Amino acid sequence: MASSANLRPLFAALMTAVVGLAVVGLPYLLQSKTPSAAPTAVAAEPGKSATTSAQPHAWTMFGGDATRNMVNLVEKNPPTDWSVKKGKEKNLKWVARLGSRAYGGPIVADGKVFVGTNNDAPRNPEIVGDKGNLMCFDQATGKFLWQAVHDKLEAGRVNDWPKEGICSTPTVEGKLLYYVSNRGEVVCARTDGLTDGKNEGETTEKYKGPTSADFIWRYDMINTLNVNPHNMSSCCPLIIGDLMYLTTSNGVDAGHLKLPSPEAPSFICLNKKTGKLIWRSNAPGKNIMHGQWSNPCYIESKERAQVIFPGGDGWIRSFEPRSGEELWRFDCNPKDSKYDLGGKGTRSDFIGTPVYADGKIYIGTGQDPEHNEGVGHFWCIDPNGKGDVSPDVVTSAPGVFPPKTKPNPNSKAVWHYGGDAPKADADDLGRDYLIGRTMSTAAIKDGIVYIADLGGYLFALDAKTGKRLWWHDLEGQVWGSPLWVDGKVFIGNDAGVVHIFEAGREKKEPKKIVVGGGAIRSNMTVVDGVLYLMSSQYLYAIETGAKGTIGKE
Amino acid sequence: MRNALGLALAFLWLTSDAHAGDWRTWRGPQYNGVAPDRDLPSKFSEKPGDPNSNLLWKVPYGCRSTPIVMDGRVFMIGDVGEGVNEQERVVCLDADTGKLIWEKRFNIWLVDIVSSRVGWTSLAGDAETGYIYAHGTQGLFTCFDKNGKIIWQRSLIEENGRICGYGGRLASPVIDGDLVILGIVNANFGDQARGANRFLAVDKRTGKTVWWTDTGFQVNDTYQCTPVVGVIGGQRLLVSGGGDGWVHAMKVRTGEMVWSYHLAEKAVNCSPVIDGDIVWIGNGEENFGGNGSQGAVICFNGASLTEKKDPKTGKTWMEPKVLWRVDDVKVMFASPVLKDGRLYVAEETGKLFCFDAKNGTELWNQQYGRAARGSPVWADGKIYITDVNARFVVLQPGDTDCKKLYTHIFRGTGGTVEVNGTPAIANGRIYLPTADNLYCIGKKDHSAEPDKIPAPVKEPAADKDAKPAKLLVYPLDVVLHPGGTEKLEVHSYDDHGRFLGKVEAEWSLPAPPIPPMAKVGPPPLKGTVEKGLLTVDSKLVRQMGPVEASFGGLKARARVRVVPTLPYTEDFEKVPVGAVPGGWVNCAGKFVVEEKGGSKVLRKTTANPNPLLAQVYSYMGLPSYSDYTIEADVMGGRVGDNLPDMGVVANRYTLQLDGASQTVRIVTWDAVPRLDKQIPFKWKEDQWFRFKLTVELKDDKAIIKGKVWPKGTPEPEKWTVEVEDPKPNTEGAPALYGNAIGAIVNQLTPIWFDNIVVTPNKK
Repeated sequence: MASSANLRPLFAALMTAVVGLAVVGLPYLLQSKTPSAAPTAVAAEPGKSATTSAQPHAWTMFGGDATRNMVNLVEKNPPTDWSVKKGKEKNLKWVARLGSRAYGGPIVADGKVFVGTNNDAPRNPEIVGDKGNLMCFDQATGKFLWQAVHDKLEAGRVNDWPKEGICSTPTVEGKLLYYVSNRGEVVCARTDGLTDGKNEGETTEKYKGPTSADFIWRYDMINTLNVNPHNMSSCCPLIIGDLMYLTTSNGVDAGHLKLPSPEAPSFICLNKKTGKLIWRSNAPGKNIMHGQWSNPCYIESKERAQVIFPGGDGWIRSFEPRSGEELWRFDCNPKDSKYDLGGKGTRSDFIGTPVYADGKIYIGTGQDPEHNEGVGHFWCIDPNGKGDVSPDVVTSAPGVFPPKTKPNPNSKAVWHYGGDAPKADADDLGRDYLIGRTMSTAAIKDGIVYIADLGGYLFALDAKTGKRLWWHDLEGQVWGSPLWVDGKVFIGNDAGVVHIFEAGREKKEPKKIVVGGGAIRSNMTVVDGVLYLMSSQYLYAIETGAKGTIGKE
Repeated sequence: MRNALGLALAFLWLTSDAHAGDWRTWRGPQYNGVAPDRDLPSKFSEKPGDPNSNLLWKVPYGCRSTPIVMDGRVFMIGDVGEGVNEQERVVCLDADTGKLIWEKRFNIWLVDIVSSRVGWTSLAGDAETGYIYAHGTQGLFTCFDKNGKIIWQRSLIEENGRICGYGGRLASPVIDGDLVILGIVNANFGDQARGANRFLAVDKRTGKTVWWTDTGFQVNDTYQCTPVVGVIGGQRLLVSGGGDGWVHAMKVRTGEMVWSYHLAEKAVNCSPVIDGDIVWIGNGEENFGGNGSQGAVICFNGASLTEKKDPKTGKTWMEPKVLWRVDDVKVMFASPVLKDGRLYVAEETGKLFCFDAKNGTELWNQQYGRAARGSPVWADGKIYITDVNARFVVLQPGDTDCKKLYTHIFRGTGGTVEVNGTPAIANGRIYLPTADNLYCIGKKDHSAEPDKIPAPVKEPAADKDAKPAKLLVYPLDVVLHPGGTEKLEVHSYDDHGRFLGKVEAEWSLPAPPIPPMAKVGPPPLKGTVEKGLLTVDSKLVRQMGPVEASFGGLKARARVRVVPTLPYTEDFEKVPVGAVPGGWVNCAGKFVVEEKGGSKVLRKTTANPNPLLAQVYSYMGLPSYSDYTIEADVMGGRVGDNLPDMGVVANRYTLQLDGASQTVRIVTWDAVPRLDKQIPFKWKEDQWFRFKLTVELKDDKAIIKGKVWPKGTPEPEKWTVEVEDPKPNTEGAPALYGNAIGAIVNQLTPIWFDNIVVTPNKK
């Protein structure tokens, strides 16, 4: 019982999840420059994700495609009016019961919806107690189809926080889905589960009923790589061709100071077909501050293909996708920042995921929400650099604090938003810093970056200059990400409210929909005109004109 | 313990009016978050020179809990200092001016709790004695007089195996009659070997144990709930949420369980409120049996009970009648307020709910912030509440809605100013703590008389001729050296837990309970007990066991621990294989004696990767030991890439070999760490090392010196690692430290210990 955050424990979570619809139009992104020897079409062609060509209308991974940009370029006229209150239902297509918390997904592919949750509303009466559950529902009706169930790790909260369920958002390609379980296993499973009675691949599943999962292979990062996931294993896999990229969640022990496995990798590349390790990197090494709950993204810049990994040391790094050679690294914190548990710590790592848009990388720093709100930094980075491309370099000897620095001639920082607020802004925001620690992944569209912070402010920034266009107080903490769809920006918060903004350089007062039933901590997505929205206990499918009602669920 | 507890208690309640204007417990004079004060401001400003600022004073003493106000003084616990100078402190301020009257600083050691979570308990003040009680981060349970003199102190980690994770959730003490009562999670020896949520009641004047109660259910978590005492169904009961997820009521003077209710799957962290027989409390995470619902507000009739039985274990308990409950309101750390038939509850996400206290009808809810940590306080028709992220909010609750009157955001120090605390209100002033400062807010010309505080429900007096229904041996915890003696008393109580008197009992020394999983239990205590005079054997250097008193068909036990005097040598040869040395604290289940290489050694257990079992200290001496040297043979085993961390402890400093970093370290409070000297030291598995650690106190400093060398080679002349501590730990129990590394069951790195020698330093 280490507490927690203690506190409130948990946190952790983070997770994340999100969603988006694929389709970010970056046609060049995936054409031929994929890293695998025999590139299958990859993650994202406009309008579809590579291996789900039979299902063009889908949202197959965290961020919708490998750029992780939280925009959906396909959907038109998403629902902007609904009620899920019992007896006052409006535009509700269906509702599905989840566990008590749900941070993974929703992912929509192969006619199904996939969600990571826990076992607190058991779908199988024979499986009770705290578990990590990856649930699969029918996309058309919300009917529960099958679930993968993972026991909790015996070490308890230090490696697998109680009740947090599956925090990884799965990636679906064709008839296969990939995710990371709460036990630190990378899982490849069939999208049909065992509903068709065919057990393919590995046959050592613990649960083998018709509503159980069919695992093809599992790769145990704890057993195989000596990874010590801090609180939760949460990565949303990135698949490019035959290769899959993951952060391992390696982090500190229960005492929060010791890193038990400094040699274990933070970033890995697996063969998606076999689950075999291709390369590994422990680049953050002993500088991991807490855990590593963010996700990689993939880019093809004008010079080369790269996989971008956010590290537990607050740096992001680029790797050559096939070899794992480090191309560049960037410190997202000021050199005089310091990691301290609590609201005053100035150095952070990442919960949000890097986004690639218009040839640049965008990411904000953040922490476990259990550490409270605090100062954050949001960056736009040019990915065409080499070596240390941080804004500044340290000139004083190691161990000197605060260190002496000088501007880095190799800096690839395009712009920065964050840090100390000018007085007028500080008075307006009611705090001394601009953007705070964020758990969100950005949505970037039409030259505008939409990003929220944990403190509940949504910012619209000029994507070219970083100039703030506007901000809005969402009046509740934000764990999830904004989603841009057809000129609207959707975002949920801890107060159980969804705000819907008109996208644009001028702020217009948002529409507020009180969803109720607790915090909205995951992301939304829209597929085929249906908005998928998760509270901690329910998955709602919202569709204009639908006449569904809340039943016993 | 002094006589008639019941009478003293009644007296206490009657006299509480004499202390009107005090806020001696964190939830105020009625334990319900309501202040009687009138004419309080609805806003304040920090602007210098603002004539309407309502800020009477501000002083740089931060706190993450709640100040108490007693007899014109404000008392708080918090952290102070940075780096090697970081400590916990209790301060006493003048309630009119904020001027410091006294301050006591304490080191922190041997605990996972990090800087920002230091001092997450509130103090309790006793009107009768003027004493102040503190539960410190490092496990010091301390009684101060009003001038800061320490009346008594216990070290709960070193003597009782108190547990707390890095989150720092700890409960605060509560005073009732002659008792101070504290809930903890602990694991120790004998009948406390199992990790559990236990309540400890001590004599408020001496600190000696009156009773221990184990709630009897599986503990899930550390927890934060501070109990409340009230007369329910004619009995004086202590009501508390627990780390086991239950709500428990126990007789306050005996600790006998009266009722329990399984509310939460994790822990219950908020405090209850009580009005007559009715009890309200909440839960902030998954509800037990709640089909995945998170959070609840629940209302019991604590005098209407039904017997329940767990079909799996056969365990029975009494359950109170649920009058109403509302699910999906996450009541995590903030405790409810009860005022005029309304229950105000702050949800974790910064939303205040108002319920009809009778039936749970929601009257309104109001978003006031982002994240609740501190609790609401009702006063002068307003509700004062904090948001952990730098906000202080004043609300005006109405019949059908709630108005936000004012939001104050604390700024100016960089980052977020955490506001974890709850305001205390006394004498027309609001004492508001942030992580950095204490603010005193009020009207300069305040003179309004407070409301009258309703008299609490009186407990019927005991019939002194009633048949005893419960015995307690006093003191219940006995710690002796070999050959030592202790005079024990037996106190009798009636069936309502009211004190009847002392009785002359029959005495015996029964065998201790057989530990879980063991086939044979430890032997009975070696010694004699005659008419309550216990004398333990003078040749057995360490042992433990119960002393039993019998009277009128009733039995009661004291827990006796015999602690070695120095010098002490331990080669484990007399300990049976599978057992642990008798009288060591927090050893059972974490270490075990086994044969290795023809000798008996103590092995760190390697089955369970839960940090509470994998990373432990086991204490062999008294916390008051000082000026000694500890030596031991220590060997680590490899599993895969992992090596353990292992070492010895003197004066709360650990000398350890660290496996992952391949260093030898001297460290104290390693979660921060306040002091941490590391030297590269290549070492391998399956090699015995000799450890030697000594602490010399000199000129207000400690000089800590350690040596580690391969066993069998000559002891090096020079110390391997040496460090000076300007904030010395002046004493502490000798101990072993083992951190078995690994996340997989049965694949943790083993550690072996042998040939321990603890010797006094030569003068």
